[in-house]
Amino acid sequence: MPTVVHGVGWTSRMRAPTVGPHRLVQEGELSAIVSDVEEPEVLPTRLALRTHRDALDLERLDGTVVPLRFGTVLADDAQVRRELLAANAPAWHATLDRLAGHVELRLRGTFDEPELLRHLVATDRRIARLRGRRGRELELGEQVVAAIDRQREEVSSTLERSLAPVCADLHLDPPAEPLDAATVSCLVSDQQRAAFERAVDDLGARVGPVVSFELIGPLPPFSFAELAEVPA
Amino acid sequence: MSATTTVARRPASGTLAEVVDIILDKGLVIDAYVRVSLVGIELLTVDVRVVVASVDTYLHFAEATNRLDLRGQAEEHDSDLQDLIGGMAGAKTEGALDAAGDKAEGALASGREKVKAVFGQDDDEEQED
Repeated sequence: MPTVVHGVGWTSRMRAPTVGPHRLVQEGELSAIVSDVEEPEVLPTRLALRTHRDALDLERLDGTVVPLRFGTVLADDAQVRRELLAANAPAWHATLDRLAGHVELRLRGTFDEPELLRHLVATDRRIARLRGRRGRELELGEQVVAAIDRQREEVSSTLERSLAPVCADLHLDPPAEPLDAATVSCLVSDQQRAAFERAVDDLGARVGPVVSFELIGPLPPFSFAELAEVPA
Repeated sequence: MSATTTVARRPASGTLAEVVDIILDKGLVIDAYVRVSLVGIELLTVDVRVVVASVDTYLHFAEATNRLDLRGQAEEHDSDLQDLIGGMAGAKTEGALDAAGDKAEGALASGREKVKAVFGQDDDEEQED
């Protein structure tokens, strides 16, 4: 039966799941958290997404886990042990060493439309001048979108500047929607956690109310899961 | 604009909608370097990249800016103001702007909203598959 692999961690630091469809496949010091699937193809149904999310739920795991991309399916448990774990053992150990004691926290900033537009009308003379002028709507819209782009740049660099000193690694995700201000994923160590949370609250106070923030996580390090290159 | 904003905390175990982009889009990809013969992998990306600079977006923001209530009051006043302006504007212009507005709204209700619609708010009643 095909085996879905959700993540890889150290055997000594992984607890066998007591509820749900997950089990551990062990190969010496390394273990994979897996579940079974009938067909060798995992479609992004709500159930499948939940299974993947729950397999990597930090509250159920004991320690560090490297999350694999959704829908990673191997032929069977033997292949997980041999090809995935044993054949790449040094790289898994190096990756786990790098990520140990870290979680991912994701800060998502969204513009509050009325607050943002009020701010732009108050600070941008071209926008203030075009506002309410019949027949100039396209021009006004263009100016507003350009001003939002500039705001987005500003928010992104503020986030980067404020959070870089309190995390081990970070990257910005591109905006997906017109009112997205910035989304930044941060790799945060246990020691950095308190300072990181303070920095986030400080950002909320400083950048608000034009931007409202959501802090998503802690998550396993989804955005930082790259297998280390280990010389052969 | 002196009001401070509190940052909303969203635990990963909350609704699926809040983490669906990261769950689908991130995580270690088994590639050539990890010499494993995969049976299957769904390399999906959450395709929510909207064209931010489009005419629809321009018209949406123009309309929103034009009906802005600068006294800084609650949003329902904005719609009152819009009604008032709409009532005064010529029928032709009004129709054209409304149509443009509706189109823009449609474009803005993009990816994430659709994802939310699919996964909903209550995570606990899935019986599919």
